[in-house]
Amino acid sequence: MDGFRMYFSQDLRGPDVAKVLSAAGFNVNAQRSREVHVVGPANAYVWLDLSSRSELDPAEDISQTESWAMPPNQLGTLIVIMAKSNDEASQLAVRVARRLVEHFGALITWDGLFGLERLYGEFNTNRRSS
Amino acid sequence: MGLGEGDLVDVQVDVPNPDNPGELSTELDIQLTFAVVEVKSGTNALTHSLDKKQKFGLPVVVYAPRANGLQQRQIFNAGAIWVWDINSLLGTLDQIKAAAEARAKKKTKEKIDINITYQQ
Repeated sequence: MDGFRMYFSQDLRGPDVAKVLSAAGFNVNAQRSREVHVVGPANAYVWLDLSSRSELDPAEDISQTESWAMPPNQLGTLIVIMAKSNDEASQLAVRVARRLVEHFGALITWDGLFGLERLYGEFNTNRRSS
Repeated sequence: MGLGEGDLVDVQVDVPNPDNPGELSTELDIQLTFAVVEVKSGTNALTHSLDKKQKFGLPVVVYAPRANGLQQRQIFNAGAIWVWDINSLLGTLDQIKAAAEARAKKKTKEKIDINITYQQ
């Protein structure tokens, strides 16, 4: 399992995210205040882990701003998207991320996952050309 | 001591939520008889995911060659063991296996001692 981080200026809860994904046709399997699961075809499975700024550890998390896509004082919610280690789950993860970017606006750091970053770029290109 | 085929339980193991079997609690990259190994190609430590893996009662080893200082601390804080290359991974697993076998031998000896005492 691997994951990447999404940075939102809004203060989001699991049900806010689940509602947007369900409306877009995603199969939301579980939703809690800080957790949303999405199931896709071919056993694809994606976990979304939500943290508000106040839940992050100032000493451990927020002090390490060099790896952050957004200044901590502008951050509303950090979502880590984790996916099962297969192609279908990776596809599902980038589709989920794209939908959240379209709806809420967000910045993404890929944390060295160049395969997922490339997949996201290809998905965007395909959407624009179709 | 070294690792053997019998040490491997499975790879990419789905772990259902016991309260809702249709929901996946987490996935184990490599499940061994004496430890769980998480392979991380990225730099994100995913402490949330590590927390769930800790529930197995087995040591969690995170193989994350690119982990930065923050992620290393997150792995440590989650109670897992960070390894940075394949040699440190194999060495760590060797140590954990040896410790697990020593514990198992001790338990067996205690059982035998209790049995002998009881028979006397």
